[in-house]
Amino acid sequence: MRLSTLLYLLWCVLIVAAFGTATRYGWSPYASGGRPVFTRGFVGPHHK
Amino acid sequence: MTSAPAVKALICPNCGAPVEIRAAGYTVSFVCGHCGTTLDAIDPELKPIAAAQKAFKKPEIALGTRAMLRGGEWEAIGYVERTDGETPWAEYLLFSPYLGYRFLVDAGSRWSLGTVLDRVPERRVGDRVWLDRKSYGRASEENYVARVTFVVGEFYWRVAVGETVRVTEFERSGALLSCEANDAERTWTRLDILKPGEAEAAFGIPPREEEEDDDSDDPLRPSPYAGRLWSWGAIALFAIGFLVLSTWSARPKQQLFFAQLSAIPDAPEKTAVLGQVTIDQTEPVTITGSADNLDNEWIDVDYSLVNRKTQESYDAYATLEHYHGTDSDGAWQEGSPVGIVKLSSVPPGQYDLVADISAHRWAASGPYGNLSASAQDATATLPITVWVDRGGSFSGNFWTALLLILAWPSVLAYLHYAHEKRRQLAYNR
Repeated sequence: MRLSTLLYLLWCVLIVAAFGTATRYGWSPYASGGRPVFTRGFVGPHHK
Repeated sequence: MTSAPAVKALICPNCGAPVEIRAAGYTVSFVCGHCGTTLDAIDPELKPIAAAQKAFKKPEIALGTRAMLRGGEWEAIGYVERTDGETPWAEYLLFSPYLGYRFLVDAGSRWSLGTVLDRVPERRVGDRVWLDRKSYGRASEENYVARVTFVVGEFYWRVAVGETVRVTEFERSGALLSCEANDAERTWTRLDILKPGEAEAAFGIPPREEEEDDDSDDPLRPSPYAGRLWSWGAIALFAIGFLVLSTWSARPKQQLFFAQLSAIPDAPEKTAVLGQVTIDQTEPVTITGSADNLDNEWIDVDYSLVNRKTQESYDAYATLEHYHGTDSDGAWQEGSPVGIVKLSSVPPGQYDLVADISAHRWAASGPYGNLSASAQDATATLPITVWVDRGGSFSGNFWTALLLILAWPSVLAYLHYAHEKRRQLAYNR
């Protein structure tokens, strides 16, 4: 097996392990929390 | 071929030099290595067929040199130089009493080993042909004429300077299919591109230097990325399969409670404890709020999931909104009356879900277009439904993991594609 393929395999194992752990504990950097400043600084219709 | 042909020692009738026919019995014509006269190898007297070539030269690989190459021991017995009118190249005729003939093609910085086929390609569709279930694409739109400019040694056909054939080439990564035709016959040859230095090492000649404008990644050689693309693709497929399985196994498990409340537009903010939530293990909590009767109104909801024991609070914010109106393009509407918030990694415990709720009515006209006047009474209450689920997974995690897994194969696929494009351009030059 080429070194680059081995490294890619390890990379995928790392990603899958991180994803599995995050899923197991329900963690996400995309979770809601607090009052968004930049995405919802304005309320009301955006129609022009 | 079942028996090794004997080497036959003869005298050139033109110059009197001793000559050897190495594939006696198979060789048809012979060009004297001393004077360049083409002789009839079938005639016992070696009758001259063509006069000596004026500018006689010696091939880089001396005729008679033996070498192990691609699983066979070969002897260089003939040498021919050809040109398409612009680019010259050389071909050595190799002979093995057990394997037959091969062509060692010297194209300057690249060598290839050619085998004349005893069959035609299996099928041909448009500009593609198939040989041994492998597809070859047309290398260039135009055929070209290859003309012999120099020849020495022995051959199994009557080769002569000036001989021409029409050549059509098909290519795939690392190999060429060459169809050569003249008025009498048509032959197909498969040429395998040799690794850099492979032919030079086999025949003991100095290795060719790379051309100045050429990188080590010769586009005419097989794509160095193709093999890895398959193995990386397989690894990526397994990894994505795990992501899908993991996401499926973490689908929302249970609705914890369901509550209904109301809000009055433009009334002071009110705080309500919506209910109690019990979390058994660290997991995400999804809070969904829905207000179906919004009419150019919006509701701000600040949720707080407060741990009864520690008073630690997990906060999130949602807006439920719906607007509609008319402008020069006609009627429009926007906003979602459903707001979903997702809290991550909520630890086990007893929680109170507290909501600060404030409802607002948008003005009937303003800088963002003309809104339809609300049909609702100014003091009418807006019903809100809230429900809480535990479990589930985050789609953002899935897409991020997918992106990270596919990033490197994508780079590899791009390099492979770029290599193939350069190969096409190199053939068409």
